[in-house]
Amino acid sequence: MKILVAFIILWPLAGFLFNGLGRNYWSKKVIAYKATGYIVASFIASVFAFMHVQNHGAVTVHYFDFIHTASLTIPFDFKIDALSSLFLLVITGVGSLIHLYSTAYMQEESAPHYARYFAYLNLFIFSMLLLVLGDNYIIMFMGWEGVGLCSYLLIGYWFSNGSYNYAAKKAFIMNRIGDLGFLLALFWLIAKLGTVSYSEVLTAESLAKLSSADITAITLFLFVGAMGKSAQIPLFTWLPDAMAGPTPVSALIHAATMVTAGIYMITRSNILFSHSEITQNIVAIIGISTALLAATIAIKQNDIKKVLAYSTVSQLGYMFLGLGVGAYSGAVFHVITHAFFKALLFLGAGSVIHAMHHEQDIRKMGGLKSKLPITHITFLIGCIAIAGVPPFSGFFSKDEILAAAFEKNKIYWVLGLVGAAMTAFYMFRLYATTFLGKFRGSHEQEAHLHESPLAMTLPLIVLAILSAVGGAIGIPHSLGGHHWLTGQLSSIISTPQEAHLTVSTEWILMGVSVAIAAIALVIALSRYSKQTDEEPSSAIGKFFYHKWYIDELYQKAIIEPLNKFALFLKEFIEKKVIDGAVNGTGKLVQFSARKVRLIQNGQVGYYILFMVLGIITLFICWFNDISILRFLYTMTHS
Amino acid sequence: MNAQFLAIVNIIVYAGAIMVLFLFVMMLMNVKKDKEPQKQLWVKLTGVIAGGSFLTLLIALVKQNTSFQGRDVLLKDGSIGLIHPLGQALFTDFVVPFEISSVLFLSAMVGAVIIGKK
Amino acid sequence: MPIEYYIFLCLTLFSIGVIGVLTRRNAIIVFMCIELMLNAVNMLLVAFSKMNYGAAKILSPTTTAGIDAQIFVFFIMVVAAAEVSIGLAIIVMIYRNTHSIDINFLNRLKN
Repeated sequence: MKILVAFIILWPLAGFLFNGLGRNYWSKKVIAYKATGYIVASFIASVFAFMHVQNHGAVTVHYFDFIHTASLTIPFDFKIDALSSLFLLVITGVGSLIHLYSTAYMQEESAPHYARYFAYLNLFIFSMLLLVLGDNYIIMFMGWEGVGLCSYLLIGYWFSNGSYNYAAKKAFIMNRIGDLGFLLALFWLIAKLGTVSYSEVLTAESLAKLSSADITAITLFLFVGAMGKSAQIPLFTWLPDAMAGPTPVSALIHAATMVTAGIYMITRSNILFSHSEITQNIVAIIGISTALLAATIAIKQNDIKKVLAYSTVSQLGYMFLGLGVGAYSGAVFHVITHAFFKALLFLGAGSVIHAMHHEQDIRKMGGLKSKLPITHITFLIGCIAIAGVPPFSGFFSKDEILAAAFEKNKIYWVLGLVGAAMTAFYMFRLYATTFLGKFRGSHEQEAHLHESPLAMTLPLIVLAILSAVGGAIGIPHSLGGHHWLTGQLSSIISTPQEAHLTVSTEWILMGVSVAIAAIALVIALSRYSKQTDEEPSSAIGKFFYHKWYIDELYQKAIIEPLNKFALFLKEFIEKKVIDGAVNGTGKLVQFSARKVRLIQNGQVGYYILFMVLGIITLFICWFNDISILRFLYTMTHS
Repeated sequence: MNAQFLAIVNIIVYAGAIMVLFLFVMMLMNVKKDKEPQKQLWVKLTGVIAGGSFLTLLIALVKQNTSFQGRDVLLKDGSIGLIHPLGQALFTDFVVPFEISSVLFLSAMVGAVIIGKK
Repeated sequence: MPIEYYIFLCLTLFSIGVIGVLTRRNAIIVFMCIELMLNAVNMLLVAFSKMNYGAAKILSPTTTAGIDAQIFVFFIMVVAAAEVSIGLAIIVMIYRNTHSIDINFLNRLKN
């Protein structure tokens, strides 16, 4: 088992080293096969690990002691249990599909850059696996930082473009702000408990040692870390800008895996969160607000990738809402289904962009149904899934969250419904403008339209099938299923939620959400299959279109004062004070030297004078007798 | 203090030889008093003050020292100032410095002649 | 006579010599002041010699207790004589080169 798990994580690392170091030697074909092959091998190994957990239960694998001091021991352990093995499957599975897709999508790049891309992608998978497999918070943090780094590297992949680099920097810096929260939580844990291993922190005895203020603080700081990584308010503006990277990168990192790291972390620490009412409320409120905010912005966007980006932010908000109301398995379920359909949607968008020769504005698209059949069907399946229409997977996961929200607080449920309606609306707006109606682009683009190669369409098909039937792992009792997923995760979750709702209430809730989604869907289809949006004229429209002006707000309120402060420090403190002190010391030495030199004027008389003075001083100090002074005193005063 | 030998030697050496040398040199050099500018006033003042304080300090030192109280100088008596014991000590205990002093005189003469010659 | 009187006298002479050296500008005058200092020291030495002799004579009448100081004075005079001759020769040479005996001019030691 030890070796198996080591292989899972070492193959992507080998891929990174191989592709990174050998990028000038091997051809594109070799690189593609190797990179994808490593991830597929990881996937197969993950399947074995999963089966092992199914048959034998959770396993903790110990490798070596990472930090070993008198007061603190941090072992390098991996933990394979239901939660991590599920995530392993998703990461390596979706990851290998995306690798396959990228081999065709990135064909236009030259070989060294091609290799660089796959090296970064493999490194990303490695870091994500590290995050998920770790048995203590430190290893998770190592993976956490690693995925942040790879996100930066991949967003800025086309580094010759200045604005892409800016977007990459923005992503990394916002991530880092969240990481500060994570680190503070870590330190708090170490200070209070002296350990960071899951098996020691996440138990009832450890909880007894922490005061409720401790738990609230730790969970709040952990949530701040999740805010940065998983793009919640206020640290979400990096994600739409991150669309500057290649589309498969957006699919992998910003749809399926990295952004879900926060949810993984909170689910892993669910025992801590269940004990802190305040944090749970905060998580839920921020989650639902993010969901609504992002949905309103998505309604008005015209770039195909930006709509999907805001949709991701919105769906992440839903996941956090689920965490906030205690529906941990619901949130994880939504993570898995979201990975399927969002990756599908992004890859489909990539296929469209590829066919349109890198055109991303949906106002220039339309009528692509006939030209790109496979892309069209798979995209449609993805849209239906995200809108929450049964029996596709999105319906089940979203409904589980909404039901739990209804239990907790009716307002959450209502707002969640509003968000679901908006989700259906903007997704079908996107679908209709892109695929239905007449083609609105130039003739040249029309001539070049073609379906994508097999390497790109195969992953689309696989993901479409998964999006369609993926709901089977979580069919709730009220519909006759036995909710396999909750059973899996019951070992992790301390306070499993029980269904307090009656079956009929659940049916009503489900019916209401489906109806609302269907209505929004139909409205969008009817409106947008014939025409596109003009420039937004109403004030609210403008507000949504300009992303609630949040970027501008951040610019004015945070970035500019910081820049001014840094400038002030440089001009005043650095130049005048510090340099002044250093230079001044030199000048002082020079000045005093010049003055002292005048004593040496060559005249013997002066020298003798100084000799006499020296003798006087010597005598006074030597015969340091008070009687000298007394005598002088009597002499002068008698 | 009955130091007869030293008194005579003092007179011979100082008033005889050294003074004569001084007079020779002064007459040789034709020193005119008014031509040379005086030393600056503050330098002279500093010199006087320094010297004065030097004197004051040393007098104070001597006065506060108790080991000199009551010791007297023997006047008009004693035989050590006479030439006989002095000559004896000079040629028995101190003969080496005596000879070396003659060498010193030799070198001084040679040096003076050489300096004067250039 | 108590020894302090002699000490004071000699100290006074000595400091007059010091003030002369510091104050005067003419090189020959400076020289004479140096001789003055030497003479003051000579007198002091002789006084000390008699003081020790007087103290020792009480104990044993045929002592030669203070004779070292007188020998010392003798040698001081030897050295003074030699030094005067050389010094005056140097002054004559300086006069021949610079036609002045102002010690302020003799500042080749500068810098």
